[in-house]
Amino acid sequence: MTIDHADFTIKKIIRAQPATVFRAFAEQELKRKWFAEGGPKSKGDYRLDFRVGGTESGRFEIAEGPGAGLHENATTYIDIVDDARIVYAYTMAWNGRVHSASLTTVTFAPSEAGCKLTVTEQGAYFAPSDGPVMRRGGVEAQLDALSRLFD
Amino acid sequence: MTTDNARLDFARVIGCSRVTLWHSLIDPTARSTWGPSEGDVLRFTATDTREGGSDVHLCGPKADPGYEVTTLWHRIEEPDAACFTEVMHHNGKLLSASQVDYALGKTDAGSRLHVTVWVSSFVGAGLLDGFQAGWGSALDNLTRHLEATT
Repeated sequence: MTIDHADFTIKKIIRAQPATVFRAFAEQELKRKWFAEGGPKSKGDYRLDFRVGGTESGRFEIAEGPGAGLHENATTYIDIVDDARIVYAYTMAWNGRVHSASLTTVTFAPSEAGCKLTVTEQGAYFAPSDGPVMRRGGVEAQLDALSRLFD
Repeated sequence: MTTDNARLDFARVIGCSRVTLWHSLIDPTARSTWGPSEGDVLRFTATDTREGGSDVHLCGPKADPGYEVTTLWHRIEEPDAACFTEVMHHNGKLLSASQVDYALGKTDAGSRLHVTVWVSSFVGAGLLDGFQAGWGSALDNLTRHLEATT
C-alpha cells in the first residue's frame, strides 16, 4: 500500500473581521453554507459540534467519473482559541474506506482588508485517494465559497 | 500564539515477523512495554483501539507521569499500515498535536517499519527537537525489545 505525505498552506484575505470569519467556522448553519453545501451534492446530514473534543461530519455523493461514490468527512476538534485559532484532525472516506487523514491548523489575524486567514494542512493519503494536489484544490474552493459569504 | 510544524521520518529494520511487529505497535499492553524511556512509565487509562476509536495514556517519570496523550485512530489495516493523531497535554496544558502513520513491510532480515510524524507544537519550536529524540528513542527501544524476545 502506498502512503503519500504532503503539506500545504493557503493564505486568504477575507473581507470581514476575524471574529466574524471565526463565527463562520463555529456556527453550524453558517458553516453549512460554505463547507457542506458549496460543492458536490450533500446528503443533507451535516453536523457540527464546535468544541474541543467535539466532532463534525457530513457526506456527499459524486454521481459519475473517477470519484463516483459516497464521500464522508469526519473531524475531531483538538484546540480552539476564540477568534484566533482552530486545530483539528479529519479523515476522508470513500465508499466506507478511509483514504486520507489530515492535521489542520486555521488561524485568523487582522489585516487592513479584514481577516488574514491561514490554513495549514499536513496529510497522509492512502492510495487510492484524491491526493494532496486535488485536496488543496478542494480546500481552496471551500475558502472561495467562504469568502463569497462576505462579498 | 504560534504554531510550529515539522515532518519527521524514521525507518527501522527489525528481526521479527510483520505480525509480531504489528502487535507491538498497536496493542496497548505491548506499547506500555517498549514505549517509555528508562525511568519512565506509560500507563493506559482508556483503550478503544479501532478505526474511529481512541486511547488515552499517561506517561513520564514513574513518580508523576504528568503527560496525557489521547490517540485518535483513523486507519488500521492489519498488518500493513496504521494512522492516528496524538494530542499531548502536560498538567492540563496543550503542548502538541501530531499525526503519525506506520507502514510495515517484509525484508530478508525480518520486517521494515517506516514511521512518518507530522507534528504541530503549540509551545515553541524546541518541542519539535523533543519529538525527534523521543520517537527515535522509542523506536530503538522497540527494536531492542523485539529482537530480544523473538
